[in-house]
Amino acid sequence: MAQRLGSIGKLLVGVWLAGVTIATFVVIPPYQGLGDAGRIVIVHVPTAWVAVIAFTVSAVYSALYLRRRRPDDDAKATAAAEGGLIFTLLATLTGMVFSQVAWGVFWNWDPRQVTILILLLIYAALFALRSAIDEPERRRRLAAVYSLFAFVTMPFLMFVAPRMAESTLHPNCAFIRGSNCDGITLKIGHVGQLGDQKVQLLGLERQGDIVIAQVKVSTPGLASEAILQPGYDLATRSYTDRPTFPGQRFTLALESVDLERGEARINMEAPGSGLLANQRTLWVFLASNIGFTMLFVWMFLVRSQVLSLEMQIAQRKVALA
Amino acid sequence: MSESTSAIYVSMATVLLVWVTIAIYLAQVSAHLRSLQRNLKGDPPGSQRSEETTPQPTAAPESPSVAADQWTWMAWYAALTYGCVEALGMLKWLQPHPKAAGRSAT
Repeated sequence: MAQRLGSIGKLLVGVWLAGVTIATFVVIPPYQGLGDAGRIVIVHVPTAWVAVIAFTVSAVYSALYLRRRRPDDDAKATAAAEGGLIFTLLATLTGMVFSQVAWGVFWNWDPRQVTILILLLIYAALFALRSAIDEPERRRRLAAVYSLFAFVTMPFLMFVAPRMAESTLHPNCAFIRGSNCDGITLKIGHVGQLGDQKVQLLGLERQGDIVIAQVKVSTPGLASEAILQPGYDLATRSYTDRPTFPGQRFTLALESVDLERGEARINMEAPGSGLLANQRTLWVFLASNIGFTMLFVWMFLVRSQVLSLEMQIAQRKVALA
Repeated sequence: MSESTSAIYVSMATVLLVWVTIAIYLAQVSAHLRSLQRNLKGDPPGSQRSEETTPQPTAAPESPSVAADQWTWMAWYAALTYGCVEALGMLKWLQPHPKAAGRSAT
């Protein structure tokens, strides 16, 4: 019965993920500014998400091992960490491809790239540690302690550090709206700061339903400046044109306009920001997250079973010797 | 190849890389699981086996360490990564090179 349920579950995961893959290329529209490369996000973010789940599961079983000293818990912790490492590698690689398309280089030492690389090295060291210790009991105990320490760094490296950096190109605002993602509201003539750019709203001009803003942008300390003209459609309440900051890949978006008060909310966006504003993209993205989570559960169950059986065989051999 | 066509190929190659990596991992782990289950069933004397089942040849002693198969899948992974990066480089190489703008011929 359990075997039959397992087979049905595997089939379901396969069909689900095949559907997600087809939807990635058929259902969701190309994203403005990124075109078809935006589709990479549908696999990139879920792999990172599943890595977080996997490392959490690994930490839970590591703590359980230290408490109960059951080898089975160690097998589960190892299986989860292994899955987490694979998904972190996949997130890094898919991110590198996205980086090449969006920013023109595979690796540009962006804060997000650096922190995921550090996380990768921390968890790779867990396996180096396991391989280096021959005595099973000692190996399990040290690996469990290390895994807990590694887990403490994970939320900081995945969520906190990349958002603390001002100069990241990573489109954080596509997924979590934080204080840095809300942009600034300026009255005509006023000056503000977006990232490392000084911005000044010079004027707002209405042409039918479209409002065009005149924004002077400059880098403090540098003589260069430019006038950008982002657009906003009053009928659809969305931006129409997002010019690029000079010499950068960031774009300037006009997010809302109040003509009576003579003010506008402007924001600096990295390529990919607002990707999930499209409903079809959002649903496929959510389905992908669910699919990848189910896939991780499958991988985790099979791998932890393998490790448990290896342990049983090893114990049996020791008993026979 | 236009930029849009190239982008969709790159997206497809990336998705494929993810699926191939996971599929190889799952296939390898599942095969290992089946082999271990066979070993475990074959080990105890007088175990219940059907007449059709051929006895398993004596397997090489399994190491209790999990390092061996980890190295195998890491090697698979490195090969895949290398293949993907090479493929991307090749895609870029295949693209027609536009003439550099703003440079005068000397």
